[in-house]
Amino acid sequence: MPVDPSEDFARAICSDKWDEATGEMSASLFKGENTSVSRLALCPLDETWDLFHRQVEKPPERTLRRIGTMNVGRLQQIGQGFPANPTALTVEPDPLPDFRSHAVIPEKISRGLANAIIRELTVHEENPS
Amino acid sequence: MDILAPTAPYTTSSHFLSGTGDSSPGRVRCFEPGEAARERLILSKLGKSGWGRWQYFRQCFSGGWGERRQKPLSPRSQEVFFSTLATLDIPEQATPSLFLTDDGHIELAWRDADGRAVQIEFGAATSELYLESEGFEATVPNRDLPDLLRERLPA
Repeated sequence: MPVDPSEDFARAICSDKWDEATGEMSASLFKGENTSVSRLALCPLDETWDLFHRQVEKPPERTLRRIGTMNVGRLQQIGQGFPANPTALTVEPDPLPDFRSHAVIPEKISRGLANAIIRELTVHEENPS
Repeated sequence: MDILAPTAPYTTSSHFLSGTGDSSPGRVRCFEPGEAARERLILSKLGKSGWGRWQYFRQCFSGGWGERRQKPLSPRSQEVFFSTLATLDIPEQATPSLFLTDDGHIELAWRDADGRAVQIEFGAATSELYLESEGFEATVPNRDLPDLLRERLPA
C-alpha cells in the first residue's frame, strides 16, 4: 500500500549530486525510476542524518552534503500538474533489514519533472555537533 | 608491500584543489594519452572547480558506489563530454556545475542570463539536453548532439 500523502519523505543529497562551489543540485537526484527515500514518520529528520551517513557514504569519499524533504501529497501534485507529461507519482514502502524507513518512488521521472520537484524541495544542512 | 595505498577517508572535491593541506598517500595512476589536453580544456572552460570535480569523479567513483552499487564513471561519457566541451560556448557570467549521475554519466549544468537551468547529460550512447527557459527536453544519439547544441545553444 502506498505511503499516505500526509507523510513527508527525505532524500539524501550527496557530493556527486551537489556541487559545493555553486550550491547547485543535479536533476539526476530524482530523474529515473526507483528513487530511494526515507519516511520521516518512521525515522525523524535528526535521526535520518546518521542513517544516511551509514547508508550512502560508500566509498567514504562520497559524502552526505544535504537532506531534501518534501510532503508526499505535494510530490503527487507536482507530478500530476507537470504540463509536459503529467505523471502519477507514489511513494512505496520498501523496508530493508538495516533501513526500516526505506521507501521508493517507483515511477520513471523525466528530467523536466525532476527539476520541478527539486525547485520545491526543502533543503536541510546538518547542524555541526 | 602494498603498491596501492588507501585513499584518505572523507575527502571531497575540495581535496583536489587544496595545495596547502597535508599530502595523502597517492595511488599509482596510469595517465591516459591526451590527458594533458583534457586537463587544459576543462581548466579553460570550467575552471579549477570543474577540474576538481572531474578528478574527484575519476578517482573516487571508478568502482561501484553508493547505496545501490551505482555505475562507475563511464569512459564513453567522458569522451563525449570532452569532445562537446571543446566546441561549447558557456556564457562568461555562468558558473557551471559538474555532477555524476547514478548511471555513471557526467552532467554539466549552468544557468542562463535569466537564471534558468541549462543541463547536458553525456551518456555512453545517447545524451540529453534540457533548457528550462523553453521547457525543452530531448535525448539524442551522441553523433547528433553537436547539431542539437548548435541549433538550441547558438553562440
